[in-house]
Amino acid sequence: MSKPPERLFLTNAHTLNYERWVGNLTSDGIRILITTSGYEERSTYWINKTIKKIKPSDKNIFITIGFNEYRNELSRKFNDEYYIKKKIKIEIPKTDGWTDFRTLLLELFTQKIGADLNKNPIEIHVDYSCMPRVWYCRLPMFLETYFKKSDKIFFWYTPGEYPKAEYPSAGVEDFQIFSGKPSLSPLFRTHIFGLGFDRIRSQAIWSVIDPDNLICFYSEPGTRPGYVERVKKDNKELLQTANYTFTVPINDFIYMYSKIASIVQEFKNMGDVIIVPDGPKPLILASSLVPLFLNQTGIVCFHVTKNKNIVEKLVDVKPAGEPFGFNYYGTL
Amino acid sequence: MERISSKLKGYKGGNPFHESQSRTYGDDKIVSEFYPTSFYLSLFNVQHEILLGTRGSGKTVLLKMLSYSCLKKYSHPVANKVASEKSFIGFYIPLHLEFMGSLPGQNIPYEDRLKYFQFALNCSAAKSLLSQVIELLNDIYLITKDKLIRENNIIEYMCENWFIENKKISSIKDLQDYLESIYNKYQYIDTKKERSISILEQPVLIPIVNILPKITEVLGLDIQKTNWIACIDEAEFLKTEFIRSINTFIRSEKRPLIIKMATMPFKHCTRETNVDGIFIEPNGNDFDYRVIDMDCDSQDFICLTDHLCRARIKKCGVIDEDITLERFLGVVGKDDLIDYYKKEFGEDDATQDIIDRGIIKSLSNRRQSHYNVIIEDHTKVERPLIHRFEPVYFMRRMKEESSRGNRSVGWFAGATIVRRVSDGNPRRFIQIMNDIFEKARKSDLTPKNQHRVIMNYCKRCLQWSEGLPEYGVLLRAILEGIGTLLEKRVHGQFMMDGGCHFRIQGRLYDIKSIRNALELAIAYSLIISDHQTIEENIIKQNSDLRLSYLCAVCYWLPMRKGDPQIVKVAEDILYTKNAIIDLPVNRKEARKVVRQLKLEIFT
Repeated sequence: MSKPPERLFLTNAHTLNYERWVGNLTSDGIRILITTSGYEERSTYWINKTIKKIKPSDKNIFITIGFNEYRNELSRKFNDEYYIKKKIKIEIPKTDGWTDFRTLLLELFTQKIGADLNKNPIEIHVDYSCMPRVWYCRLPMFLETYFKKSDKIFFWYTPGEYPKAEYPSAGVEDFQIFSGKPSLSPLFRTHIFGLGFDRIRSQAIWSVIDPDNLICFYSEPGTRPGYVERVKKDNKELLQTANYTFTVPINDFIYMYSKIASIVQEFKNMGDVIIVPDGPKPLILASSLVPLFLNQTGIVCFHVTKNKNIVEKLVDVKPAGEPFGFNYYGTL
Repeated sequence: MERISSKLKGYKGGNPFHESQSRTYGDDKIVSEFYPTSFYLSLFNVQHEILLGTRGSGKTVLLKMLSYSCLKKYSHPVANKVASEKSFIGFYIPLHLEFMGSLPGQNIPYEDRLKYFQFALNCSAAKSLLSQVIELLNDIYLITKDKLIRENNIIEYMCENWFIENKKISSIKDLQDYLESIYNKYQYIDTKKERSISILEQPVLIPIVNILPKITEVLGLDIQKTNWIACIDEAEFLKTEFIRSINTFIRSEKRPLIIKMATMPFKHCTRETNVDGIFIEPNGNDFDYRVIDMDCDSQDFICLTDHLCRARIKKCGVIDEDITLERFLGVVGKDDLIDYYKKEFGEDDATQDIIDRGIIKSLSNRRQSHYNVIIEDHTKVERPLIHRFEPVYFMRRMKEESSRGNRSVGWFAGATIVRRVSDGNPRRFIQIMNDIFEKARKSDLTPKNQHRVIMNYCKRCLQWSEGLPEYGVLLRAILEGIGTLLEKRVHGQFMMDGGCHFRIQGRLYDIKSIRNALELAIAYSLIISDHQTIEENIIKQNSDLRLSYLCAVCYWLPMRKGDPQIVKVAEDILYTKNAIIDLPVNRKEARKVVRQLKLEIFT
């Protein structure tokens, strides 16, 4: 917190189709593949597909981070066993907070590619499907500044099958600014809400923020059939209240990101713009990165954390589609 | 007389009631829609005041209307006097969620967090103050040369006092930009801070207090007669440590700088200051609590709603000088319950004699026997019996009538009902009018149509209550629980005196989540509380509470006090003081929690 965040560049960013990428693999340089072991069945889907084409070796370095919490819940044991079978060590940070995760990654980078960091072009692949928000939203900036201009950074996401669970409401204490800084005294404010399946939570956020000018967005097409209808149904009241609604394609990260950024820019002319994302991870990631990329006072992204008064109900998310992703270059 | 709303049939323009959020209104809009309530006029005093108001009660408008730039545009004897004498000059400081959210979290040491809060608030206050200074300079000094000299004096003085070394500052606007720029580049841990930043890191508003005498003098105003008001809005987002910081100012400073701080009920959660053991004292010692919310039947609210109605309807090109809510909606008879009852059932079936007989027939056998004893004594029949039970009887009949297949009644209609459902809350009034206006475009605003719109609005609000922050899901279940209990009483086999008022048994509010949910309900005016409860910041056994009238619509309750009911948990439910129940995450769980409490009412 000692310095204001640097600007995010996302140099030469492209949306990626997994099948096309895996079909055109080249073998130059070093690859680092970062995955997770958690309680979701989805944890091993991407790696299981990828490991068939990219075998662990000196040049293909697999880093798996196991969550410190919930070590015996739902599919965690199966996931741990999977990695053990594949002879991939599961590294566990001291806590599941960003600082410990980052520290662990830095240690592992030094340990595994320290000598090669400045030589070979490196590819870094991150499967963020099962990562918590505090990790995957901070990783793009961290990796961009850590790796060289010739190094490529990839982010992959596997859509999930979410059961019809209901999630805890939110209170004022749960709001944290993830990126950007508000103006000192904005004349007008626009709130851009990303919508998911969480009606009560979305309404709670709405009632805390009490928006002046509400804009809503959700992903369309969604990750699977029926997704859009459910989002529309669950957020009927909010969508009726919104002054404008737009949609973004979940599987085209760069288009999604650009669209959110352009809407933000449009409303920035009127005053501050505050993004409050919910919904699938790519949508949250894109929203969180926009203030870092545009880097203007008055563009802010809120993260609404989970209510600490409510015991979290874990959900075993199963894979529900093929992975997709995006890549860009480092800036060092 | 023709309803004014009928002139809007087929109207294709924008709905003038669409906007209900005054935060974004410019000065002109604020001024054009403002009505000076007696509460507003009483704010021109030298006491620090904490204004407690529910969401939508008009806190922002009140505070913005204290600023000189709004006041001078407003045509009203008191406003004109204050503006011309410059006896009170307000400047508006919003503490919205983003502003508070940008403050550092727990990972930064307390001292640094506090410094940053003080810095940010001082920057915001200074910027806002300077906007008012620009307005004052323009009005006081009509000759450009004189104005520029004074402006330069102020700039020089502020730069000198705040150690601003930026030589490019040649106007107050530049000074404001400078404040914005240091706010943007502020770093929590910075050993080489500009001296101006260190000045602005002083306790809240102290840098402002230090420059006010000189600014007042340069403006040619009398320091003894000029009071400056820091109008701090949305203080509900302040964390306890920052409230302490503002309390410290309230405790130690008096005029010429006065604080008027608006927050929601139960959100001014501490009277502590930054000095251990020192508290701020209400009742005029250090400050006063003032409850903003209006009574829905008060003259203030009637005038305010008429004014809002007039200001907004005129935007649609309706040329009529005498627009009132009554004239917009139309009036049945004298807009009394009996008038709507007669309209519904016909004059012949609603004679006083038939109504009286209906009332007696609906009473319990015991009461009927009593009636037969007192039947000849007019004084015992008229007021204590007929007058008392008439509203309950009407409500029972209307509910019965509406529950018949394909039968729609025109009961919740008319200006009085619209104001009551608004519960003295201007924003709720605008929202209801938004829905009514939409109806008026398509069809006549008959009582039946008004009833449909109002009923839909109320049901929607009740449903939305579960979306209120944190305790919303539980709150909705509680509202449903209490609403159902009161409904059963009013619409049971025998007619009993009933209304919307109730009290809460101590054992019930001792349960932390229930207490928090009730506080939330009061903060969002779903439950209306007596002012004392809000000022004392605590719900007690003798707190006079009532379901909001929008809940009354949902449960067909007479909008009246009725016999006081006490809501309590069943005797066999054991809860210790401050018991914690798991916070439910969905409606099903919340209803289960409330069911487990086995709520009951007794008189």
